Amino acid sequence: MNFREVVIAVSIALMVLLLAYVIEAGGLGPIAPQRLRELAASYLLNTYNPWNIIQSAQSLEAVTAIVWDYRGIDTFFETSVLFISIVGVSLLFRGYREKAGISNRGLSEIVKTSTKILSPLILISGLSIAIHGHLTPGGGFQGGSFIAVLLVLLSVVFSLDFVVERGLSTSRLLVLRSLGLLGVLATSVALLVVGLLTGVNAYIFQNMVREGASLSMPPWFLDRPTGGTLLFFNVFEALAVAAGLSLAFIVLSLRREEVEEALEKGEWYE
Amino acid sequence: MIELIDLALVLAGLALIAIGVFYDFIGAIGLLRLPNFYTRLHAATAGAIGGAVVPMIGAALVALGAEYLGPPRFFLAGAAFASSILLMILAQAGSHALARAAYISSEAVREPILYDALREEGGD
Repeated sequence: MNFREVVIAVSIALMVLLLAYVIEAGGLGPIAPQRLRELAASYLLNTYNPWNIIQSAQSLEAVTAIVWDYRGIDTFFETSVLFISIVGVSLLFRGYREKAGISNRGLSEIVKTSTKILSPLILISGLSIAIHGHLTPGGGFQGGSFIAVLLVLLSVVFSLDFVVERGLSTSRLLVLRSLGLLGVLATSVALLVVGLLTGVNAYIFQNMVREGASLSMPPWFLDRPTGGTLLFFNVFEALAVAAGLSLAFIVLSLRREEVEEALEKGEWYE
Repeated sequence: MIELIDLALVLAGLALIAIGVFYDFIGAIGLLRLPNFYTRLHAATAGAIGGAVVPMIGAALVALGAEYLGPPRFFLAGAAFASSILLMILAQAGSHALARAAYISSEAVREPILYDALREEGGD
């Protein structure tokens, strides 16, 4: 350790300390603004407001209410962008089929046992984040990413054959992904279809009662709040994201035998 | 009586956190000074188990003893305890997988070495 390194370490430590002091003393302005802007205040007031259902989403989580109710169409197209990128990956690797019997035996017994203990916990916490999206922070995308991480972990620790043998091949994952997106689509037009059939006014992405549209998704299941469409959106989004991300992982973890086969098949397409 | 139990819980928790600080310090020094990958991995794992699992249990005890936090202290204690157990399962498995991969692929320098049990068994 020479003099130069000591000077660098001490100066970095001093900079962090002084910055912390300046922020603590309010030198860079308040860390969080003290008063809410009017827009934020109105969202906070209306996300769960049983006395003013016309403007409310009946969700206890403001972020989920904004993402899937107040600006639902925006989020639908975000989901479609992810879907299109998955379609792009599978188009790029057309002719790809995972081959059985060429993957290794996975990691050692110790890692396998720890993964066996943990995987149900990961699955349950992923599902819980997705299903409680309208109550707690999180939602469909986050829960789906959890479940995708579980699939990635299983395919690394137990080998890819283990995952494929249990029915999660790439073609079936693509079907699951499409089912999730179709579920999102069906939820968004459900009230519109009912309105058209019964001759009542309704909107797409309608959740609660709105001005001039008296249809509404059920805000309660027994004695539990569901946030109307938000519960369905979160569950379908979790399905779509879990299937899509693990599909991308499996396709991108190409093995050499598969590349050769895919190249042969790719020539047929041309 | 209740105050005494609370005080004992807080003191035990603080002692565990102090042990954690010690382990973290040792782990940091070991990571810098030890000669090869495997011994450094050992130091890092000591830092993870002794320096994260033990102080998290300590934090759970402190939260249980801190009466002024009200009922949320049970959530804090439960979350800290559960994550310490998860980390205890995970940290050792991760280090094991890293060391095994480094050994099998011969990527890491093995010297200085006293005894190699894996080589006598024939690799795997």
